[in-house]
Amino acid sequence: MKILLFILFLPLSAYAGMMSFSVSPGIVKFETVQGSVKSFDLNFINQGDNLLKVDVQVMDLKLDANGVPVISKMSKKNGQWGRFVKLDKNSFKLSGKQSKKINVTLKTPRGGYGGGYFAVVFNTSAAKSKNGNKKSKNSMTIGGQIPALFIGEISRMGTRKMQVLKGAINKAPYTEDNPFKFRFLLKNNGTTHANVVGDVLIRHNKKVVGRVRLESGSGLVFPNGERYFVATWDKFAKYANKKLQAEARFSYSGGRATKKMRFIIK
Amino acid sequence: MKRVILQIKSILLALTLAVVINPTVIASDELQELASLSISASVPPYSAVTVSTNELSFSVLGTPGTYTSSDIVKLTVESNQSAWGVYAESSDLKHIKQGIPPLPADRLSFSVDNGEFKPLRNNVLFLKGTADKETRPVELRFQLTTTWSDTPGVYKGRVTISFLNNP
Amino acid sequence: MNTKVILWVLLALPNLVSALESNSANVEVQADVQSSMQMQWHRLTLKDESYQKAKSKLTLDDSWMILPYGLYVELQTNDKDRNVFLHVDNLVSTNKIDTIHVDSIYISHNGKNPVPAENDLLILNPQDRGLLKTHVLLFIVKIQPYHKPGQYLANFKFINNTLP
Repeated sequence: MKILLFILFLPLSAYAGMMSFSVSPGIVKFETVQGSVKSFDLNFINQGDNLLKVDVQVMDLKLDANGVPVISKMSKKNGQWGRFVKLDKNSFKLSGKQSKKINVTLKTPRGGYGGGYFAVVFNTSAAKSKNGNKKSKNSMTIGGQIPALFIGEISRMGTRKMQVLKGAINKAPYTEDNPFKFRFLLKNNGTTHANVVGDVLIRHNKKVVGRVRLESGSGLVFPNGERYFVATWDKFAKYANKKLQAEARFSYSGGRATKKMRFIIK
Repeated sequence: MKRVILQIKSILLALTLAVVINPTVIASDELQELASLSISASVPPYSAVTVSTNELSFSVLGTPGTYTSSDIVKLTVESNQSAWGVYAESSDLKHIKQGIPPLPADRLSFSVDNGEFKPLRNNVLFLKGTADKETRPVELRFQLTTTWSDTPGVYKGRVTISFLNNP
Repeated sequence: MNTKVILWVLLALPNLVSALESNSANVEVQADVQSSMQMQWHRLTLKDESYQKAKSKLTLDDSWMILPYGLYVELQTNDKDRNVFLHVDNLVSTNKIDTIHVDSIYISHNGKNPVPAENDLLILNPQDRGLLKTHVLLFIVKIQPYHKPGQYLANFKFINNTLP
């Protein structure tokens, strides 16, 4: 028997809002030395007209397989340096068209090696007015969040070692909306991050019949992270039902990785 | 004008000295023509444009829109030309990274002595003068308009202020 | 002879000086354009045409409940490396005792089939740079027997991400 759920939101008068903000720089790439102290300044800018309440916190940072930052609660995992970071302020209010400077201090761990990552996250909400009426308490609150990403490494201490985990082609039929694609998954088994570039050589009867560049934005892969690299080949139709070989070739600072696979285009 | 006057004074001084050191000059009530000197003086055309600062910056921190630079350029023009004009032209502002579209020149506009802002495109005439009138310095203010399609980053360009003699 | 030399020098000097003066001046311009993002929203109610239009595209049985409030959002950014996600928290009762977990909440984006709110919903990606994107978001609860009736508070967050 289904229970009829009756959910009511508190009635509200017209509810609307606007937010516009930015943080500069949005990405901080740096090198450091074991045991040293490094200081950075971030500028949070309220680009809108309304007063904002801003809470600042340090969190873990990693990238998903599409290169999108994933921010999570601070931990003691290897390569996550959030616990070595101090902020000079954790909360502030900022009027419209104003900016605020936040100082970030990192004490690089003595036993650290390789890459270290963290995010300084700004959580925003509309600042409550002094004359708030209890009856008009919002049933729907809307906030914003923007991180500044810190991507660092201890100079000359990290290793980069990429491994191509797998490669595949997408399924037919191939159309303008679903073009023929190669996709490779790369894993970083090293201790620091690397920007990777790659291409695919396509062979038929040992002869090279195509070469396409593998795309993945900046190609940045964190240690223990994975990233997809994709290439589209528009001359596939000529080789339908033929045995082909694809060789994916990746290069990064300090190394290379390759993977071969056979396939037939149906 | 001041330079021309200075030149004439120098010529007269030279003439005076020539007369004084010439041993054939006799102090006399009767002036006798001893020698004649023909003088031709050509006054060269002169013009100069000076600016109080060679750098202009915009800090576009907020959402796209029109931003006025806090830098004010004081422009001084000196000329003995009969009629002249001062023109301004801007280059496109190029992004420091390659492959990113520039900000077109007509996104920049300027005003003279707190007047209306006009876009800087194709050599804009903004100041005229003549030799018989003394010019005073003018203040130039600049605005930049950005849009949502402009990629963030640093853009660089140049505004050229030129003097041209009107024939 | 001495006079002529002095005169020649005096007349030549101004020409030498004017050769060094310039008829133009250059002003170097630098513009520092910051990454920027703007979002505007307002609550949609049953009476709003866009709420009704989006709702009409959904075909849901009785085990689903479309909440009587939705969101209309406008987003715009100049940053080619930025994307924006909508994050939905658990619904919490006003007495702070009961919760409707986010795994029972679904989002219909511009009238499309509902997707789980457990995963942050991508509503602005780098390809949208410069464009003003509008979104109509309806919230749907998959009714579970343990859900208790009452008044609940909803918390949404627009998560900005810059791609490194």
